[in-house]
Amino acid sequence: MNATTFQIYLYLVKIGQPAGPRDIMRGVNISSPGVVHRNLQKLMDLGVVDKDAYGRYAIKEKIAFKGYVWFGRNLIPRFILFSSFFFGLLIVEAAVLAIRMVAREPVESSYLLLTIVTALSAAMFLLEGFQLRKKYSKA
Amino acid sequence: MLNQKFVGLICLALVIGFLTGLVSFYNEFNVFQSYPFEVDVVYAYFKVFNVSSGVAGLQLGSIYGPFNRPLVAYVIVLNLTNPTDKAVRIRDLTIALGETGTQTGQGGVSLTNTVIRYERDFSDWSYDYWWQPNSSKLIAVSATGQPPFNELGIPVLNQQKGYFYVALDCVTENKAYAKGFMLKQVNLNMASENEFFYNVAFKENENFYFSNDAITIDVS
Repeated sequence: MNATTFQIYLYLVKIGQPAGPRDIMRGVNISSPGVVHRNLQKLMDLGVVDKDAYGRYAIKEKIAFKGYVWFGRNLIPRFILFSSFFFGLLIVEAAVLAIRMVAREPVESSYLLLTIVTALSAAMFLLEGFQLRKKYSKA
Repeated sequence: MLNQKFVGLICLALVIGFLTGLVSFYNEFNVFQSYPFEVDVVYAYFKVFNVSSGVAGLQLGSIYGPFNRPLVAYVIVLNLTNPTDKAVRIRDLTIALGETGTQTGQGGVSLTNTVIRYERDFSDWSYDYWWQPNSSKLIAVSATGQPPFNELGIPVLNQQKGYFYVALDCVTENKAYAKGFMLKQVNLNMASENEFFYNVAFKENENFYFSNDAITIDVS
């Protein structure tokens, strides 16, 4: 599935009702009706879009996309969720670190390493997640 | 709509991560709990040394004036009791002896005419500074020093009366705090002209010596 096909598919999922080719052109911001028709045909061949008697297109089934998770009609990059999870964990680890310092308790190097790994994981997942989200936002 | 759901899901993931961390590091937050720890001075020995004024080095007075500030060598034995059901590690110890002692509003103590002030940080983990639940141990500390601040410390010993102040900070096995505190008036006995002692621990002919850890003592 190329970028335009992906955008059309996501648009149909987002509106949640049948749409004609002109609505799709406006919704996805494509200037050529031929491009829309060609990509809709591709989606029909894949069996994910149906055409009704009025010539409108509707989603037949939601398909899974690698790296994304469906949340209602929204496609969310998994990496952003992983990043949020690690940020939640990092808040607790940072609080524990602060408590140990205030209480003058020794901080084991393994604990410091754990906190650094959590912080790096959160940052890397966030970066990757936003790159995927940017791709999705274009759609 | 998209943003609301998107932000909602991110918050959910954040909360799940936070709760996972909270469950994993639950013990670390026990630092906000505090347990009692009992401390009592059961023995103290003081010896006052006068240093020859003809010898270069240590001055009998101080930079503030020709005060009488000889050296005081001392050994103090404390009975430390852990009344909790948690193992407790001692951490910071402060001992002082002064002429009068009063508790201040902020939980501190004000001593006048201090004879000695001893502070020790037990953060050296090489020794076993743990007290098992519901257990008592005697520890001894010793040092030599000049009475701090002024010349009025030594007369306190000669009066054979003073206030002992002991404060002890500890941590429990589950990383909570335990605190010991004592402020009491004691009467000292005079062993000789320059020797004073206080004893409610040892019988006649009973002696103690330091264990290998240089803190706990063995009684013979």
